[in-house]
Amino acid sequence: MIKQELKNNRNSFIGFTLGLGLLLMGGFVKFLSLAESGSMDVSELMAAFPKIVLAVFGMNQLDVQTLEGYYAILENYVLVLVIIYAIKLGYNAVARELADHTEAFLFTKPIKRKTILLNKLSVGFFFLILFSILNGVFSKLAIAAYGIDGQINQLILYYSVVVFFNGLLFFALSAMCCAVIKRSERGSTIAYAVFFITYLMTVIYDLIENGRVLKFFVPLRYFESVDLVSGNFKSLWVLMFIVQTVIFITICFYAFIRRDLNEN
Amino acid sequence: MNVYRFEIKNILWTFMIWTIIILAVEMIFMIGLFPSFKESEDAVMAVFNNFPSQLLKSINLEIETFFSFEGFYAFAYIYVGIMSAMMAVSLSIRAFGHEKKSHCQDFLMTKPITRAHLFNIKIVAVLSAIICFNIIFVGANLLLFMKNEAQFGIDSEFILLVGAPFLTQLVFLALGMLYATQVKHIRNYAGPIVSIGLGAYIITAVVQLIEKEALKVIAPFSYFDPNRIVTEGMYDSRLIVAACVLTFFCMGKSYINYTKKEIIEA
Repeated sequence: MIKQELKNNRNSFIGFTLGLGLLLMGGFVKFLSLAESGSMDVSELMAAFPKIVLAVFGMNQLDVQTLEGYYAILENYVLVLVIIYAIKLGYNAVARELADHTEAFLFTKPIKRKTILLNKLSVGFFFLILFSILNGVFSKLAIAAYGIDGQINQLILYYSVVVFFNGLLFFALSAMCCAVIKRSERGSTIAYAVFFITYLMTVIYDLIENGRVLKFFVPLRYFESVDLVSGNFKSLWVLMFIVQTVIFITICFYAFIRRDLNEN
Repeated sequence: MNVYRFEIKNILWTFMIWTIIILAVEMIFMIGLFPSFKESEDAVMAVFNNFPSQLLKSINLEIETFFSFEGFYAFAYIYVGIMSAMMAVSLSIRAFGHEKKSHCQDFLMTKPITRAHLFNIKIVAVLSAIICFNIIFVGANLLLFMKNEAQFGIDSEFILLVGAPFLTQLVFLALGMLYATQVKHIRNYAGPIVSIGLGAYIITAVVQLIEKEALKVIAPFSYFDPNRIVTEGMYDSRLIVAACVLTFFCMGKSYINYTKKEIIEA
């Protein structure tokens, strides 16, 4: 059964990995020319400007002329990518059989529903880990391929961890929504909607000066790029991710085991 | 007419929800955030005042554009644009993929209407929804611009600025059609909508980050970029051509798919 699941998810995994590779490999092309043109000191200027002005300028408190700052911007897009992927995985794990009208075949097998869900979720989990590892590998490769100087191994590691936890959180959220809601395709719509709202809040969070209150609602900013770049990994927020993930998964199991099967 | 009425009913909810969301976001930016942005002009000027006066003169004009209402509109458009694109994808996937998703294509096709006719009706239905949305959107922005700009007149610049969502939506409408007519199964709507919308956004952002002009051809959100209107007053003609080519290709391919493709019931 795990084999079957792996096969089901293979194509989309290849697709998303390709996207990830292109993003990182393509993204670093520019850094070459930046580094060559010689950097001027903009960090002082940045400190003087309010957040919103910088955002309209297309910057976010990061010095894009350093490798770290540039990498952080690319990784912010990777985060969006991994979340879309994670929601898809969560949906596949819980609701795909329902959409294909094949769950009746699966449930007649002498396996507990709990085991079924566990297997399916662990496959998703596996793909997420793989995705995060590949994120690190591609980053290393891109930097090596263009011969960029600079050691950011630690930052790459941090970001891979952040990518993984964000993915995990939305994976769990999506799985829960699909299990709880009767018409399971609605579940993934809701998961996407939640992500979309979070993303908008992230944007607003980046724009206003005193966004502390919002922080709880913006998983994308649990780890702020500025902190990560300066090597300040606040592990307390990992706990935040884990607690939310565990809650979502528990609800997911609870609902999945009790769900009625009605074929239409 | 029956089919048209059915299609409109089918996409009505989507249309209303997206219209409300997009307008709300536009309001958050233009009413909620613009004032605090405008206020920070002084702080920025204070920094630049330390510069030599020769340089200051040339920068001054740029700062004025930067802090103008149009400038901020162009900034907010990054997000408003993504959402209107997603709206267009959503409407067209719903219209063209609805039967595929609920496995009832064969019922529709047994009706005494040619497939080409059905295709046309569906396009007209989606287009009328998009035109409705844009009338509301332009109206709302007309009010905002009149309130915030001292000498406001409806000129070509304003029309091009508020027309950006419409033009972008046409491109994404075609993309959504192609998706809906091309794939074998449609399991849910949200996945493809978000993937197409945010995928295009990521491509555009990365293309802008690496500053390669030639690559803008593959970045759908740079086709109609209000920033260009603010700085240069016109869209890039090469990108307009790219947008047209993409739109007509997708529509043509969808037409062939829709009229010729074998219907496989799973």
